[in-house]
Amino acid sequence: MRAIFKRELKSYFTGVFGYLFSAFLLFVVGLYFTVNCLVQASPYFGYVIGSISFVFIIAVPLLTMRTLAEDRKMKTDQLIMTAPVSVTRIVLGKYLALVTVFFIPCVLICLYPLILGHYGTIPYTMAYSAILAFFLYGCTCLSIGLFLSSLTENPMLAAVLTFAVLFADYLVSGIGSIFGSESNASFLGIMMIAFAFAIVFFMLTKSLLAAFVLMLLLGTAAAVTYNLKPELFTGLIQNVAGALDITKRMDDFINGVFNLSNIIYFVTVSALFVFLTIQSVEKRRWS
Amino acid sequence: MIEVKNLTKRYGNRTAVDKLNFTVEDGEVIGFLGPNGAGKSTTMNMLTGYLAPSEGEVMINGIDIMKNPKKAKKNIGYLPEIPPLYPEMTVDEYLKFVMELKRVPKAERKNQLDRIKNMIGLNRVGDRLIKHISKGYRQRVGLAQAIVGFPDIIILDEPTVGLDPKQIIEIREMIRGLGEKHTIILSSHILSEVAAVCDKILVISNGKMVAFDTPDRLEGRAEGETSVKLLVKGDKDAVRDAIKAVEHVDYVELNSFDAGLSLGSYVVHTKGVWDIREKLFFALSAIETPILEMSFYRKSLEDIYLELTKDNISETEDMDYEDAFGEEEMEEVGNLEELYEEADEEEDGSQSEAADDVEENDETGKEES
Repeated sequence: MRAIFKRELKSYFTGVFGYLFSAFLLFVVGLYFTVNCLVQASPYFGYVIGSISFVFIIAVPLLTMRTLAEDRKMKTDQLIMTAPVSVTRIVLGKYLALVTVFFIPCVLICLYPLILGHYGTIPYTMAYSAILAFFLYGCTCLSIGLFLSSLTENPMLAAVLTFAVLFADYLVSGIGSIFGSESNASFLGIMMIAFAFAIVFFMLTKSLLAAFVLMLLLGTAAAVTYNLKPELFTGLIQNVAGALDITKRMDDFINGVFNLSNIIYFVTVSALFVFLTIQSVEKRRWS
Repeated sequence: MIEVKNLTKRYGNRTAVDKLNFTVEDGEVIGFLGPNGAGKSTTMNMLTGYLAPSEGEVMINGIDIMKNPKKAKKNIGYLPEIPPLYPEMTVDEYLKFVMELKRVPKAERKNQLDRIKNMIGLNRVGDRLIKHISKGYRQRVGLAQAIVGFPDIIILDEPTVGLDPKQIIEIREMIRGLGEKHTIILSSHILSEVAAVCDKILVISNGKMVAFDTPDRLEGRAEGETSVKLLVKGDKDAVRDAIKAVEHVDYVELNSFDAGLSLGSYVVHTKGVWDIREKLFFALSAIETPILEMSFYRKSLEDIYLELTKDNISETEDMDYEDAFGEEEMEEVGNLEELYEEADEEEDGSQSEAADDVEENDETGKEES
């Protein structure tokens, strides 16, 4: 695992992507810091973090797109997979390297509240809990990028997929609120989700029949439940969207509330995607 | 030791590797031979644990590679068809990474790096980026990577493909050197390469094992593998009876007979490999029928190879996908064969000259940088 970790970390900084990633993050943070805190003389660094949660949509694909896809493309996975190292350790090594690259700009971001501190009293706990949330949110996005990179051998495709998924997740609460909270609107939304689910399933398994059966099953289940107990559907879409919305989990921290359940949420989602990555790499040996 | 039992790999409906069974003893050099697409790479990927078999098992020194992959993989070095190199690393960096990956103890690393670089001839390119070195050197780095940690078993997938004849000879010499201490499996679609380096040849066709034997015994496999062509003057029945009476003769064909000159052209087939020319001479001179011409034919390894893998070609023609390049591939094999034989002659003829050329090659390599 150490060998993989070291090589990955080095490759980010012998190439351009590690620098590009850090530079982009720091540029955006610096820009918002200047505008929000310095120009407007605001002591709330947490709000800077709150308004730049979009950076990951662009920065994360840059970093994660090559992680596993490039190995497959260059056939170097044949070296790694035939070495006496388990798939779990390979994936963990790669993920930790990603997190480490991301950790470096985070350390630099930690200096901003100190700069502000020179000009007066500022709420440090609020600022640092926001940075912690920023770090955890970033790690979650990296795990999603890692997973999507394991699905393809084309780094560009991995980047586009990661961008699309993170962007969709960024907007998911907004999309949820387009639907009314009435049960029939929710039912319509659930049917659309079932359809989307079937498409993803088809892309993963390439089996049209299985995807069709899956869609039919989900659709029937939803229709039956809707006919029997329509009240179950009230506000369902909003609840589903809320559960999927990772960005929203930062809000409490930005307002200075240290919410343990949100930390657990970030850690669980990251662990889930790392686990899925391991499965996806492992599965390729069997197909 | 490698034990392969009932090894099968299916991709959907297509069976790439079909129930392979064989055992490789310690210290043997085995050649996988078969046309492109016969299942050689798939088999190797399963032997090294890169792919999981659909059925069957692979035991490396008695350890099942699927059940205890970490322990089994420690005994294997693998050079895949495309060398698994990171272009943005230098050769030294890369080999150090592989050493760490394969858990070579820290104290041995420096020593081993120097040893491997000396063996493979990589001393001059140690600090160069892999993307800047020539294809021949990349193949060498791939080979170096496979012998890191000096594993018992070294598996090489088409180690000489895409190299020029001189490089082929160099790599072949290296493999021969390694074969003294290691168990080696290498694959190739070039027959003469396998015949030159390997103790045993495993011929694969359509994912099935069609032969597994030493080159010599493989040559003596098919029925009637030697024949003698004769041009004899004399009565055809008398000649035929005389030939038939000779030991080891299986049957006689009369190709043509010129009654005016009483000249007959015969082909004599033997059972097993026998050179019966002397006996034929005495037998025919005893009945005073002079031999005007005589030539000896022996079925070459190549004939046997083509015969064994005949099905592969005809069956792939059914599939429209491989139809397009089935025949072309065979031609290519033929061309490579010629090239290779030329290179062979060159090597035999002037050892010292070849050595000079290697020097030159290194020089040009330097200029490239």
